[in-house]
Amino acid sequence: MKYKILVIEDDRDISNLICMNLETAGYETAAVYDGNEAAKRVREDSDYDLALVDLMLPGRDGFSLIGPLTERRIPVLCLTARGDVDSKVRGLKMGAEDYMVKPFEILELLVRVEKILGRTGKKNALLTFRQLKVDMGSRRVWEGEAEVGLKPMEFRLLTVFLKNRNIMLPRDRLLDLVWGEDFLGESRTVDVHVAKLRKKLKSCEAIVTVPRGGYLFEDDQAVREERKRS
Amino acid sequence: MRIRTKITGLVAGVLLGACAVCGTFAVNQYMNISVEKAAAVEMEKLELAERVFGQTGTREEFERMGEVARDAYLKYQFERCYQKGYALLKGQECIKNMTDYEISAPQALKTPYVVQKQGESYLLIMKRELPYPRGFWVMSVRDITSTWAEGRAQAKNFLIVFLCVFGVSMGIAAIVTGHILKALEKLRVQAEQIREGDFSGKVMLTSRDELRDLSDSLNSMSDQIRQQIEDLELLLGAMAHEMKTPLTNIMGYADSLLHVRLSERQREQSLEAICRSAGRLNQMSGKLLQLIGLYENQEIENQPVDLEELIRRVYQEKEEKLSERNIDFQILRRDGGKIRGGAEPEDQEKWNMSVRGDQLLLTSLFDNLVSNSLKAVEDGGQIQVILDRERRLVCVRDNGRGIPPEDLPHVTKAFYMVDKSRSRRQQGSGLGLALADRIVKAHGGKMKIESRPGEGTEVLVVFGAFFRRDGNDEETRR
Repeated sequence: MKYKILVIEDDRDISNLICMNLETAGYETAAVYDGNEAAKRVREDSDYDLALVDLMLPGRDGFSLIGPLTERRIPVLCLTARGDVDSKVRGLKMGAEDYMVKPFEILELLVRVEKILGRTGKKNALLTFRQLKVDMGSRRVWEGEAEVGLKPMEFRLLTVFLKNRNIMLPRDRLLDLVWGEDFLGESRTVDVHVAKLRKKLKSCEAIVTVPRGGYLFEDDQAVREERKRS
Repeated sequence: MRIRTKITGLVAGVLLGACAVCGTFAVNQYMNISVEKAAAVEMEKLELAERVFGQTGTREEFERMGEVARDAYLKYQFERCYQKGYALLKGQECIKNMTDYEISAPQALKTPYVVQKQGESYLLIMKRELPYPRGFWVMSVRDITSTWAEGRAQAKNFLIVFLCVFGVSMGIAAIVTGHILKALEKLRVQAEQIREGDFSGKVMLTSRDELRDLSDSLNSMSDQIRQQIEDLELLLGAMAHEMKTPLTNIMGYADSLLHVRLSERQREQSLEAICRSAGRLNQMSGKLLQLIGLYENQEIENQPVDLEELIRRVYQEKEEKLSERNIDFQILRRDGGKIRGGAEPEDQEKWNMSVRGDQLLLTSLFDNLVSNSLKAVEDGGQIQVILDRERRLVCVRDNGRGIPPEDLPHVTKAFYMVDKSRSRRQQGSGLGLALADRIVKAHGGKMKIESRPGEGTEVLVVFGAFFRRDGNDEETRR
């Protein structure tokens, strides 16, 4: 079950960039380039789990879209070049979940998207990969038919990988994401846990070590889908 | 030396000098007149007494008398006719003294009268020879201390008046200098504020003098500087903002290429997007440099430029795009009210519209204007460039979308875009018209934009007097 994200951004390059990365990371996206078009789309179909909204849009102002979106229980992440405090406060007060100022880093965007979805998305979401099934609600993991017992940190590491497929994650970034920024561990800790995951789960062979980089969870399915579309 | 000291010293010096000269002169004059008046009165008295004395005997009678008898007789008659304060002299010797003073060396008296100081009192001494008998003189000694004292009192009065005038003048001078210094202090404080970058302060001087002019100049200078700084800040702010979009693209796509497993097609798309955005940044920076160059009033070249030739070159650069979109592009000449098209080569020799200016900047100007028209028109539209030699005017006209009236006053502002997303899609930087406007202004001309939404836009460029003069020179020389 994939999350569906509505991307409302007038600059086509930026829109493509966001969609491309979200799709590679395993989300489903729909792009709209115009304020009025976005309002129409939301009225017709409100089956989105998140909306990324550029505040300066042709047609209809991005601020005016926050209301209709939140009414339909679609959380909003504002994406804008306007970095002033007034715009931020206004956007957040109108009901936006988060606010990002351009230029932004892709990985940060993905993490924020994931955090918002973690707060507002379906609680019993199920992450799947080949034979692997991960129940986020009950925190249980199955491979094939057999349930596999994972320690809390291993479980969190696995979910981070599953939510950021095909994206290279440096060791320090993984430390931040799994253990938290206050954790004073070494990057060796990551290696140890990855080794444990690989040992316990067959599917975790998809975790590839990138020399001098970090780890990458390869999901060919997303890439295959992309290829199919082109 | 401070201005206060200078002005006070100057006023005091001038007053002292003037009063000393005038005062001395006036007092002196007064004393002279008083003494002379006293002398005249005395002389009259002497004459009167002399007439009485003359009746005591005729010349013959005296001549008949013996010397001793005559002297005695004279003494006797003198005592009778003259009063106290006179003396009778025989030659150099005093024979009868009725004054309160000792008389010595009367021959020293050469002038009609003399004033002599005797102890505390002043004496007016006069001498008059008797008509007969010969060799006798009458000397008068009169105490004129009172006249002298009067003169002194007069001098004292004068001194008091002078002191009053001096005091009042110094007071007025102090007040006036105080006012001037206060105004100067205000101006200094404002200049200080400007130095510290605070342009809000205004000096309000109520006087109508040079200081007011200075303060007005200072105020307008401060306004001017603030305006320029605000313009530049706006420009910088807008630029930083406009840079964000291409930067987001470049960073994002490069980041994705580095860290994300992308398909071949996605990789290509990413690289293309990076190229596009970098191109946009490059274009923006080029135009900004030109704009800032014009802000700094760099020397612009001053050479004859053939406008028709220049516009034809602009057209050649865009020919491919124009034919691709099937747009009709015409270069027309307005001659004596008629518009003629088609520039045959032999025509070229006779018809020439040239202005003096910078070839590169003028190319950039018309390139921007034609590019704007190109963005505005639909496929199959029309763009006309009309050259009017007599009015020194170039008109770039299209039948495109036009500009909404509410946006029209703002289109020459940097980074102002009427339709942002469309403008970006068409690689617009939002600087074209701002740059065009500055180029025209730098050439001493004017740019006017007329537009109706849906019908088209007309940009008129009128070259100024500077170019008319030089341009004509150029033409006659040819």
